[in-house]
Amino acid sequence: MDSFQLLGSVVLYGFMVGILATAVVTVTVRNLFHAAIFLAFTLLGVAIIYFFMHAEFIAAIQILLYVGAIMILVIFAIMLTAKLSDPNISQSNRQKVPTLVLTIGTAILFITAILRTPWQLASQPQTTDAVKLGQALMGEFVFPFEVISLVLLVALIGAIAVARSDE
Amino acid sequence: MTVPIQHILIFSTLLFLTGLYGAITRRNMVGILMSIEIMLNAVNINFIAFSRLLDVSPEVAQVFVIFIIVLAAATAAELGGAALTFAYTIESSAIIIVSFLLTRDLSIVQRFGWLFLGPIILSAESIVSRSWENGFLHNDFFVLLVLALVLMITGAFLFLDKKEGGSEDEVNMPTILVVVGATYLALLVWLTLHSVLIQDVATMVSLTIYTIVGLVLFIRSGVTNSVTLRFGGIALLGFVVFRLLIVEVWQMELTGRIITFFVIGLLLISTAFMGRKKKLEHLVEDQNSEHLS
Repeated sequence: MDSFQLLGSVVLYGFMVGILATAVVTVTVRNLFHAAIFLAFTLLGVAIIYFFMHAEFIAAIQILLYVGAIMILVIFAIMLTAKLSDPNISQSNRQKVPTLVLTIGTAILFITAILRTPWQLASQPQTTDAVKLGQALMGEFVFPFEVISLVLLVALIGAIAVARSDE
Repeated sequence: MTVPIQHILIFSTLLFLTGLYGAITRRNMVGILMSIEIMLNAVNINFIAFSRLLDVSPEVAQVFVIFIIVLAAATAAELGGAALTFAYTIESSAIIIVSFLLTRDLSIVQRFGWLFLGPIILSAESIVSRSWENGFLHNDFFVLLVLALVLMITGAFLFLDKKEGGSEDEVNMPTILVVVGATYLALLVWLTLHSVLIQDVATMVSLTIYTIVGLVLFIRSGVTNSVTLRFGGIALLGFVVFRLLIVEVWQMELTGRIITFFVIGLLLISTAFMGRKKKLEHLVEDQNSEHLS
């Protein structure tokens, strides 16, 4: 049992390092198409993290929506735009060094805060399933749910309005 | 799950900051978009970790993740009660306004006004709901409030745009929407006051409010020559008088009766006086102009 848990932890840490590595490649690589591919791996890794934390429904959604739908959109956008798919054009601006300093400073701040906060842990790991999730969505959170459906409607109509030719 | 929560949080912090770095340094929109996706995912990992390890309801955290990811459309059949009316109201209004902005064709949009029939029928349940007896801050209040406001805003929006177009029809959808919305507001005032105050006082206050609004509408209709406004004013005043004659006189205590009659009578007399004065001024002006010509 202990050796299994140890193995699980090691695998989880391995995935964390892998996700961070692919994310770094995504934001730094020169070729945007490669960046999109690495982003897909990052998102897939995040889905695996969800599986590790027993959030199976969220993990399924992550794979379906992010890896399935959003990534396809991004790749289409890159491939249809000549300027974006050209690897010789630099895709970064000149703020690299200040941003790096800022990011590292923020990281130190956040990590200190995380380590000093007394977290109120549950006595044992909690879990939930899709049925309870659906009940919460249709019961307690039904208003935000409706608002979000409205956002989706606006996005649909907005896409039609943008794509429509001007006459 | 043997990994401590601090490690997961540190990991998601680093992931978030990686995304932030990308969002600042990338030069084009697609690159920025991809970086923002990374940041959103970091936030989602935090939520999931909290739902698993912290002493909170696991559904709450995961529902937030769903809101961030899914943006799913609602199938109204699975909803019920107040939420369904809310949804119908807002969506009807959104469809009308957006389709008007897109097509600029009022005749099409006017037909969409019938979409409001759904929430109006559903709101009947809120009007007769028993929860009005225990105060007014509950779902049914907000249902009626949202319905009234949305109806009036949509109607006013179409009304303003119609004026720019300049086409004059007699009775059309914007007018109907505004009138129905105003009716709902009046109803809301009545129900709210009755749930807060004592029965007699509430009736008195709401009747006074109706009288004031009716008189304002009536005077305003004299200025703008609008048939709808005059009709609304007359309807409100008529309701007040009718209600007074039929019910109030027999039910109220003596003091309440006297005060109500006094206030309403005062308002009626002053308005009649002002209207008369205005008419006289008009007559004088007309005569003057005739003299001049």
